[in-house]
Amino acid sequence: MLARLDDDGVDLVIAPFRKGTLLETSAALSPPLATSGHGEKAIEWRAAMKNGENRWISLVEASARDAGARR
Amino acid sequence: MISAAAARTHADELPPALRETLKRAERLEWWNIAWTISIIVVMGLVLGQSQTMKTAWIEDTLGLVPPIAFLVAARMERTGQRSRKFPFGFERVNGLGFFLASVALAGTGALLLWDSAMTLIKAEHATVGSVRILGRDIWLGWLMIAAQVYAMIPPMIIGRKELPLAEKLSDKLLHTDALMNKANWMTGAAGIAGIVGLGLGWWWADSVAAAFISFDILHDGLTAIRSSTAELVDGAPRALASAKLSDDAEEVRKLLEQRYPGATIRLRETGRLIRAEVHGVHPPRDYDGPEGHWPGEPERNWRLAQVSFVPDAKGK
Repeated sequence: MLARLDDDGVDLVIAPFRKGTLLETSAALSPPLATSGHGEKAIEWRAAMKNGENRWISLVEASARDAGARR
Repeated sequence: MISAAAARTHADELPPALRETLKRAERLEWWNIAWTISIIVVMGLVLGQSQTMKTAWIEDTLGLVPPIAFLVAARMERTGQRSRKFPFGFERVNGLGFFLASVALAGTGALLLWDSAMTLIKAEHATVGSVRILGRDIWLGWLMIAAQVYAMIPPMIIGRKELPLAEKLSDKLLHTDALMNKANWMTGAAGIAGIVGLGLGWWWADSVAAAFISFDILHDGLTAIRSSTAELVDGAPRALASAKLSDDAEEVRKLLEQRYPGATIRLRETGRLIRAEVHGVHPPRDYDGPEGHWPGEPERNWRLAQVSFVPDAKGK
Protein backbone atom coordinates (compact mmCIF):
# COMPACT_ATOMS: atom_id res chain seq x y z
CA MET A 1 0.00 0.00 0.00
CA LEU A 2 2.82 2.39 0.88
CA ALA A 3 4.36 1.85 -2.55
CA ARG A 4 1.09 2.97 -4.14
CA LEU A 5 1.44 6.38 -2.47
CA ASP A 6 4.08 7.24 -5.05
CA ASP A 7 2.09 6.32 -8.16
CA ASP A 8 -0.82 8.58 -7.22
CA GLY A 9 -3.10 5.60 -6.62
CA VAL A 10 -3.56 6.25 -2.91
CA ASP A 11 -3.61 9.51 -0.94
CA LEU A 12 -3.38 8.13 2.57
CA VAL A 13 -2.42 4.90 4.31
CA ILE A 14 -3.14 4.41 8.02
CA ALA A 15 -0.92 1.68 9.34
CA PRO A 16 0.89 0.53 12.48
CA PHE A 17 4.54 1.50 12.69
CA ARG A 18 7.14 0.53 15.24
CA LYS A 19 8.14 3.57 17.28
CA GLY A 20 11.04 5.44 15.66
CA THR A 21 10.41 4.00 12.17
CA LEU A 22 12.59 5.84 9.67
CA LEU A 23 10.11 6.15 6.85
CA GLU A 24 10.36 9.91 6.65
CA THR A 25 12.46 9.83 3.52
CA SER A 26 10.13 7.61 1.49
CA ALA A 27 6.80 8.88 2.83
CA ALA A 28 5.58 11.61 5.14
CA LEU A 29 4.25 10.27 8.44
CA SER A 30 1.69 12.05 10.58
CA PRO A 31 1.97 12.27 14.37
CA PRO A 32 0.63 9.10 16.08
CA LEU A 33 -3.15 8.66 15.94
CA ALA A 34 -2.96 5.98 18.61
CA THR A 35 -0.25 4.06 20.44
CA SER A 36 -0.30 0.53 21.85
CA GLY A 37 2.36 -1.03 24.02
CA HIS A 38 5.23 0.66 25.82
CA GLY A 39 8.89 1.43 25.43
CA GLU A 40 10.84 0.28 22.39
CA LYS A 41 8.16 -2.24 21.41
CA ALA A 42 5.42 0.40 21.25
CA ILE A 43 3.34 0.38 18.08
CA GLU A 44 2.13 3.70 16.70
CA TRP A 45 -0.76 4.06 14.28
CA ARG A 46 0.15 6.81 11.84
CA ALA A 47 -1.07 8.20 8.55
CA ALA A 48 1.46 7.88 5.71
CA MET A 49 1.25 10.28 2.79
CA LYS A 50 3.12 11.00 -0.42
CA ASN A 51 6.09 13.31 0.09
CA GLY A 52 5.71 16.87 -1.12
CA GLU A 53 1.90 17.08 -0.83
CA ASN A 54 2.41 19.76 1.76
CA ARG A 55 -1.06 21.23 2.12
CA TRP A 56 -2.56 17.73 2.41
CA ILE A 57 0.17 16.66 4.85
CA SER A 58 -0.43 19.71 7.08
CA LEU A 59 -4.19 19.05 7.09
CA VAL A 60 -3.75 15.37 8.03
CA GLU A 61 -1.12 16.22 10.65
CA ALA A 62 -3.48 18.69 12.35
CA SER A 63 -6.31 16.12 12.34
CA ALA A 64 -3.96 13.41 13.66
CA ARG A 65 -2.90 15.66 16.54
CA ASP A 66 -6.55 16.34 17.39
CA ALA A 67 -7.35 12.62 17.23
CA GLY A 68 -4.27 11.74 19.30
CA ALA A 69 -5.17 14.37 21.91
CA ARG A 70 -8.75 13.03 22.23
CA ARG A 71 -7.58 9.48 23.07
CA MET B 1 69.77 31.86 20.63
CA ILE B 2 67.40 34.34 18.99
CA SER B 3 68.22 38.04 19.25
CA ALA B 4 65.64 40.57 20.47
CA ALA B 5 65.21 41.88 16.93
CA ALA B 6 64.67 38.38 15.58
CA ALA B 7 62.15 37.57 18.34
CA ARG B 8 59.78 40.28 17.10
CA THR B 9 56.53 39.16 15.58
CA HIS B 10 55.30 40.01 12.11
CA ALA B 11 52.60 42.28 13.54
CA ASP B 12 55.26 44.28 15.46
CA GLU B 13 56.51 45.53 12.12
CA LEU B 14 53.15 46.83 10.97
CA PRO B 15 52.17 50.48 11.57
CA PRO B 16 50.21 50.99 14.85
CA ALA B 17 47.06 52.08 12.97
CA LEU B 18 47.14 48.84 10.99
CA ARG B 19 47.63 46.76 14.14
CA GLU B 20 44.52 48.46 15.52
CA THR B 21 42.61 47.62 12.31
CA LEU B 22 43.76 44.01 12.68
CA LYS B 23 42.38 43.92 16.23
CA ARG B 24 39.06 45.39 15.01
CA ALA B 25 38.88 42.67 12.36
CA GLU B 26 39.54 40.04 15.04
CA ARG B 27 36.72 41.41 17.23
CA LEU B 28 34.40 41.36 14.22
CA GLU B 29 35.31 37.73 13.53
CA TRP B 30 34.49 36.73 17.12
CA TRP B 31 31.05 38.30 16.61
CA ASN B 32 30.83 36.48 13.29
CA ILE B 33 31.49 33.11 14.97
CA ALA B 34 28.97 33.79 17.77
CA TRP B 35 26.21 34.78 15.32
CA THR B 36 27.01 31.88 13.00
CA ILE B 37 26.69 29.36 15.86
CA SER B 38 23.32 30.88 16.84
CA ILE B 39 22.20 30.60 13.18
CA ILE B 40 23.33 26.95 13.00
CA VAL B 41 21.23 26.16 16.10
CA VAL B 42 18.12 28.04 14.88
CA MET B 43 18.31 26.53 11.38
CA GLY B 44 18.90 23.07 12.81
CA LEU B 45 15.66 23.32 14.81
CA VAL B 46 13.48 23.90 11.72
CA LEU B 47 15.44 21.96 9.10
CA GLY B 48 12.68 19.61 7.88
CA GLN B 49 13.17 17.97 4.47
CA SER B 50 13.79 21.13 2.48
CA GLN B 51 16.90 20.68 0.34
CA THR B 52 17.82 24.35 0.42
CA MET B 53 17.38 24.45 4.18
CA LYS B 54 19.71 21.47 4.61
CA THR B 55 22.29 22.94 2.27
CA ALA B 56 21.98 26.36 3.89
CA TRP B 57 22.61 24.70 7.25
CA ILE B 58 25.74 22.92 5.96
CA GLU B 59 26.82 26.17 4.36
CA ASP B 60 26.39 28.06 7.63
CA THR B 61 28.54 25.42 9.31
CA LEU B 62 31.22 25.74 6.61
CA GLY B 63 30.94 29.49 7.14
CA LEU B 64 32.83 29.00 10.40
CA VAL B 65 36.00 28.00 8.51
CA PRO B 66 37.08 31.48 7.27
CA PRO B 67 36.61 33.35 10.58
CA ILE B 68 38.38 30.59 12.53
CA ALA B 69 41.21 30.54 9.97
CA PHE B 70 41.44 34.34 10.19
CA LEU B 71 41.59 34.35 14.00
CA VAL B 72 44.28 31.65 14.04
CA ALA B 73 46.31 33.51 11.40
CA ALA B 74 45.91 36.89 13.11
CA ARG B 75 46.89 35.44 16.48
CA MET B 76 50.00 33.86 14.98
CA GLU B 77 50.86 37.13 13.25
CA ARG B 78 50.54 38.99 16.54
CA THR B 79 52.19 36.50 18.88
CA GLY B 80 54.23 34.07 16.75
CA GLN B 81 57.88 35.03 17.22
CA ARG B 82 60.59 34.18 14.78
CA SER B 83 62.62 31.22 15.91
CA ARG B 84 65.23 28.82 14.61
CA LYS B 85 62.44 26.56 13.38
CA PHE B 86 60.46 29.44 11.87
CA PRO B 87 63.09 32.06 10.96
CA PHE B 88 60.68 33.99 8.70
CA GLY B 89 57.93 34.15 11.32
CA PHE B 90 54.30 33.41 10.58
CA GLU B 91 53.14 36.06 8.12
CA ARG B 92 52.28 33.36 5.56
CA VAL B 93 49.78 31.69 7.89
CA ASN B 94 47.33 34.25 6.51
CA GLY B 95 47.97 32.88 3.00
CA LEU B 96 47.40 29.32 4.23
CA GLY B 97 44.15 30.44 5.90
CA PHE B 98 43.16 32.16 2.64
CA PHE B 99 43.60 28.84 0.83
CA LEU B 100 41.49 26.97 3.42
CA ALA B 101 38.76 29.62 3.28
CA SER B 102 38.77 29.48 -0.55
CA VAL B 103 38.35 25.70 -0.49
CA ALA B 104 35.47 26.06 2.01
CA LEU B 105 33.79 28.66 -0.22
CA ALA B 106 34.21 26.61 -3.41
CA GLY B 107 33.10 23.49 -1.51
CA THR B 108 29.96 25.29 -0.41
CA GLY B 109 29.13 26.27 -3.99
CA ALA B 110 29.85 22.76 -5.30
CA LEU B 111 27.77 21.15 -2.55
CA LEU B 112 24.87 23.45 -3.21
CA LEU B 113 25.00 22.77 -6.97
CA TRP B 114 25.32 18.97 -6.52
CA ASP B 115 22.47 18.69 -4.02
CA SER B 116 20.05 20.83 -5.97
CA ALA B 117 20.92 19.09 -9.27
CA MET B 118 20.39 15.66 -7.67
CA THR B 119 17.05 16.73 -6.20
CA LEU B 120 15.89 17.97 -9.60
CA ILE B 121 17.11 14.84 -11.42
CA LYS B 122 15.46 12.49 -8.90
CA ALA B 123 12.37 14.75 -8.76
CA GLU B 124 12.40 14.51 -4.97
CA HIS B 125 9.37 16.20 -3.44
CA ALA B 126 10.37 17.93 -0.21
CA THR B 127 7.92 17.57 2.62
CA VAL B 128 7.30 20.56 4.82
CA GLY B 129 4.76 19.61 7.43
CA SER B 130 3.35 21.44 10.43
CA VAL B 131 3.98 21.75 14.15
CA ARG B 132 1.59 22.57 16.97
CA ILE B 133 2.69 25.55 19.03
CA LEU B 134 0.51 26.86 21.88
CA GLY B 135 -2.45 24.91 20.55
CA ARG B 136 -2.17 26.25 17.00
CA ASP B 137 -1.02 24.26 13.97
CA ILE B 138 1.64 26.23 12.17
CA TRP B 139 3.08 25.30 8.78
CA LEU B 140 6.79 24.57 9.32
CA GLY B 141 7.54 26.67 6.22
CA TRP B 142 6.70 29.85 8.16
CA LEU B 143 9.23 28.90 10.83
CA MET B 144 11.79 28.08 8.13
CA ILE B 145 11.24 31.49 6.53
CA ALA B 146 11.63 33.18 9.93
CA ALA B 147 14.86 31.20 10.53
CA GLN B 148 16.16 32.13 7.08
CA VAL B 149 15.43 35.82 7.65
CA TYR B 150 17.29 35.59 10.96
CA ALA B 151 20.15 33.76 9.19
CA MET B 152 20.41 36.47 6.53
CA ILE B 153 20.81 39.54 8.73
CA PRO B 154 24.13 38.91 10.56
CA PRO B 155 26.12 37.82 7.47
CA MET B 156 24.76 40.80 5.53
CA ILE B 157 25.93 43.26 8.19
CA ILE B 158 29.20 41.51 9.09
CA GLY B 159 30.15 40.96 5.43
CA ARG B 160 29.69 44.67 4.67
CA LYS B 161 31.78 45.62 7.71
CA GLU B 162 34.55 43.22 6.69
CA LEU B 163 35.11 44.63 3.20
CA PRO B 164 36.70 48.00 4.17
CA LEU B 165 38.84 46.27 6.83
CA ALA B 166 40.00 43.69 4.25
CA GLU B 167 40.98 46.51 1.88
CA LYS B 168 42.88 48.40 4.58
CA LEU B 169 44.71 45.26 5.69
CA SER B 170 45.12 43.89 2.13
CA ASP B 171 43.74 40.73 3.66
CA LYS B 172 42.43 38.22 1.15
CA LEU B 173 41.38 35.81 3.91
CA LEU B 174 39.12 38.44 5.42
CA HIS B 175 37.85 39.32 1.93
CA THR B 176 37.03 35.65 1.30
CA ASP B 177 35.11 35.60 4.57
CA ALA B 178 33.11 38.60 3.34
CA LEU B 179 32.33 36.54 0.20
CA MET B 180 31.34 33.60 2.40
CA ASN B 181 28.95 35.88 4.27
CA LYS B 182 27.54 37.05 0.95
CA ALA B 183 27.10 33.39 -0.05
CA ASN B 184 25.27 32.75 3.23
CA TRP B 185 22.74 35.54 2.89
CA MET B 186 22.18 34.77 -0.78
CA THR B 187 21.47 31.15 0.14
CA GLY B 188 19.05 32.48 2.74
CA ALA B 189 17.23 34.51 0.09
CA ALA B 190 17.10 31.48 -2.22
CA GLY B 191 15.88 29.39 0.68
CA ILE B 192 12.98 31.76 1.30
CA ALA B 193 12.07 31.73 -2.39
CA GLY B 194 12.26 27.94 -2.36
CA ILE B 195 10.07 27.53 0.71
CA VAL B 196 7.48 29.95 -0.66
CA GLY B 197 7.57 27.88 -3.86
CA LEU B 198 7.00 24.66 -1.90
CA GLY B 199 4.02 26.34 -0.23
CA LEU B 200 2.61 27.09 -3.67
CA GLY B 201 3.05 23.46 -4.71
CA TRP B 202 6.16 23.97 -6.87
CA TRP B 203 8.35 21.11 -5.63
CA TRP B 204 11.19 22.17 -7.94
CA ALA B 205 11.34 25.80 -6.72
CA ASP B 206 13.51 24.92 -3.74
CA SER B 207 16.24 23.30 -5.84
CA VAL B 208 16.10 25.68 -8.80
CA ALA B 209 16.63 28.62 -6.42
CA ALA B 210 19.58 26.83 -4.79
CA ALA B 211 21.15 25.84 -8.13
CA PHE B 212 20.82 29.42 -9.40
CA ILE B 213 22.90 30.94 -6.62
CA SER B 214 25.37 28.04 -6.39
CA PHE B 215 27.03 29.17 -9.65
CA ASP B 216 27.85 32.57 -8.16
CA ILE B 217 29.27 31.02 -4.98
CA LEU B 218 31.27 28.43 -6.93
CA HIS B 219 32.69 31.17 -9.19
CA ASP B 220 33.82 33.24 -6.17
CA GLY B 221 35.32 30.14 -4.55
CA LEU B 222 37.27 29.05 -7.63
CA THR B 223 38.57 32.60 -8.17
CA ALA B 224 39.77 32.64 -4.55
CA ILE B 225 41.43 29.22 -4.97
CA ARG B 226 43.31 30.47 -8.06
CA SER B 227 44.48 33.53 -6.16
CA SER B 228 45.42 31.64 -2.97
CA THR B 229 47.35 28.90 -4.77
CA ALA B 230 49.20 31.60 -6.73
CA GLU B 231 50.35 33.04 -3.40
CA LEU B 232 51.39 29.63 -2.04
CA VAL B 233 53.58 28.90 -5.09
CA ASP B 234 55.19 32.37 -5.07
CA GLY B 235 53.17 33.72 -7.97
CA ALA B 236 53.04 37.47 -8.56
CA PRO B 237 50.76 39.32 -6.07
CA ARG B 238 47.09 39.10 -6.96
CA ALA B 239 44.30 41.64 -6.51
CA LEU B 240 42.10 41.48 -3.41
CA ALA B 241 38.89 40.54 -5.22
CA SER B 242 40.09 38.68 -8.29
CA ALA B 243 42.88 36.46 -9.64
CA LYS B 244 44.22 39.37 -11.74
CA LEU B 245 47.61 40.89 -10.88
CA SER B 246 47.45 43.42 -8.07
CA ASP B 247 47.58 47.10 -9.12
CA ASP B 248 49.88 47.85 -6.15
CA ALA B 249 52.37 45.22 -7.27
CA GLU B 250 52.25 46.34 -10.90
CA GLU B 251 53.11 49.90 -9.82
CA VAL B 252 56.04 48.56 -7.76
CA ARG B 253 57.27 46.52 -10.72
CA LYS B 254 57.12 49.56 -13.04
CA LEU B 255 59.02 51.73 -10.55
CA LEU B 256 61.72 49.08 -10.04
CA GLU B 257 62.09 48.58 -13.81
CA GLN B 258 62.50 52.35 -14.26
CA ARG B 259 64.99 52.68 -11.44
CA TYR B 260 67.03 49.58 -12.34
CA PRO B 261 66.96 49.32 -16.14
CA GLY B 262 67.99 45.93 -17.46
CA ALA B 263 67.26 44.18 -14.17
CA THR B 264 64.80 41.30 -13.87
CA ILE B 265 62.10 42.06 -11.34
CA ARG B 266 60.42 39.25 -9.41
CA LEU B 267 57.54 39.98 -7.06
CA ARG B 268 55.70 37.67 -4.71
CA GLU B 269 53.27 38.02 -1.85
CA THR B 270 53.61 36.67 1.66
CA GLY B 271 50.33 37.18 3.45
CA ARG B 272 49.53 40.89 3.19
CA LEU B 273 53.09 41.89 2.21
CA ILE B 274 54.81 42.27 -1.15
CA ARG B 275 58.42 41.14 -1.52
CA ALA B 276 60.59 42.16 -4.46
CA GLU B 277 63.78 40.70 -5.88
CA VAL B 278 65.86 42.74 -8.30
CA HIS B 279 68.07 40.37 -10.28
CA GLY B 280 71.15 41.34 -12.25
CA VAL B 281 72.14 44.55 -10.43
CA HIS B 282 73.97 45.57 -7.27
CA PRO B 283 72.09 47.59 -4.64
CA PRO B 284 72.60 51.35 -5.06
CA ARG B 285 74.93 53.16 -2.61
CA ASP B 286 72.06 55.37 -1.48
CA TYR B 287 69.62 52.46 -0.98
CA ASP B 288 66.74 53.86 1.09
CA GLY B 289 64.97 50.63 2.02
CA PRO B 290 61.70 49.24 0.69
CA GLU B 291 59.76 52.37 1.76
CA GLY B 292 61.72 54.39 -0.79
CA HIS B 293 60.53 52.04 -3.53
CA TRP B 294 56.82 52.34 -2.76
CA PRO B 295 55.08 54.25 -5.54
CA GLY B 296 51.71 54.73 -3.85
CA GLU B 297 50.37 56.54 -0.79
CA PRO B 298 53.06 56.72 1.94
CA GLU B 299 50.68 55.41 4.63
CA ARG B 300 50.48 52.13 2.73
CA ASN B 301 54.22 51.69 2.22
CA TRP B 302 54.19 48.85 4.79
CA ARG B 303 52.87 46.68 1.92
CA LEU B 304 56.33 46.52 0.38
CA ALA B 305 58.27 44.64 3.06
CA GLN B 306 61.46 43.81 1.19
CA VAL B 307 63.51 44.78 -1.85
CA SER B 308 66.45 42.37 -2.29
CA PHE B 309 69.21 42.64 -4.88
CA VAL B 310 70.64 39.54 -6.54
CA PRO B 311 73.66 40.54 -8.70
CA ASP B 312 74.84 38.17 -11.41
CA ALA B 313 77.77 35.91 -10.48
CA LYS B 314 81.12 37.08 -11.84
CA GLY B 315 81.69 36.21 -15.47
CA LYS B 316 77.99 35.80 -16.25
